Amino acid sequence: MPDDRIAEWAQGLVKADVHAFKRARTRFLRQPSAKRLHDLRTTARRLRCLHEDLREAIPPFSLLRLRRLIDLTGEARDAAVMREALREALDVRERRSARKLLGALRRRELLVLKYIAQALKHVWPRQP
Amino acid sequence: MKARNVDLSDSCGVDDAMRRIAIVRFAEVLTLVPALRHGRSKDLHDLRIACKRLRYALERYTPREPALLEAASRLSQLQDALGDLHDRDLLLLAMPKDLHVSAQRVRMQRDDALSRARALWRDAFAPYGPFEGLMRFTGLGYGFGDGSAS
Repeated sequence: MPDDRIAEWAQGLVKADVHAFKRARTRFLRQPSAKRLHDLRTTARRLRCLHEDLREAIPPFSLLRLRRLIDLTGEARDAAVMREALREALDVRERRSARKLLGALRRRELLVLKYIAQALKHVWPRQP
Repeated sequence: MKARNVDLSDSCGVDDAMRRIAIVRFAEVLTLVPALRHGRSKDLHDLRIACKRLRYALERYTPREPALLEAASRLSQLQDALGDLHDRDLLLLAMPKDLHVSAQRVRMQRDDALSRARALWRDAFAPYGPFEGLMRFTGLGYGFGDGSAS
């Protein structure tokens, strides 16, 4: 077990990251946007990385729901970014063939955004 | 790729703990960096994740170790380039076969992103370059600026 100074430092980092995550969650739930989704995803991933770095120095807590949330935010982000990248690269002669994929990506993004809102109700209501 | 465990059991103080974490995370990046040479998607994705882990760790330490700021910033740029590349890989997988011209453009964008990542990596190890502080802090990375990723 690491010494008390490390445990205290680690607790401070976890507290700051949990606070940042909760703030991002509140903002996203209030008014979802691409920027707020990005913030939500980033704060969740930082928290997971912090846990990976300091798992020996902090009290154990489950990351199951946080991981699920990270996966979902990744799916929504990927769908949005792929749509944007496809639009950017699309040759006018191929516009018709791309319509189906663009539509599918948009539907996927909207569906996953709903899942995220649901998942956020269950992820981490209390301080670890 | 799963993050390696960091042994903090006998570390003496916060600075030592920070150093141990940075060493493990930087070692993960260095292990995966041959991906920049061969350009395989899966390995490049793993490298991006390793860069992210190292960057997040360094960003937490910069209030105590400002010399790590430049490395964190370079890792962020590297992560962006590798992220662009990964997005193009995903798109190429999803694109229907009849989008020949568009797919060719996406492949070119992927190649550009890979070139950008290679240049960012190579340049990071220049004398007084972005990784100088990180190499001094961890004692790792010497000898990596010799074109090993080009």
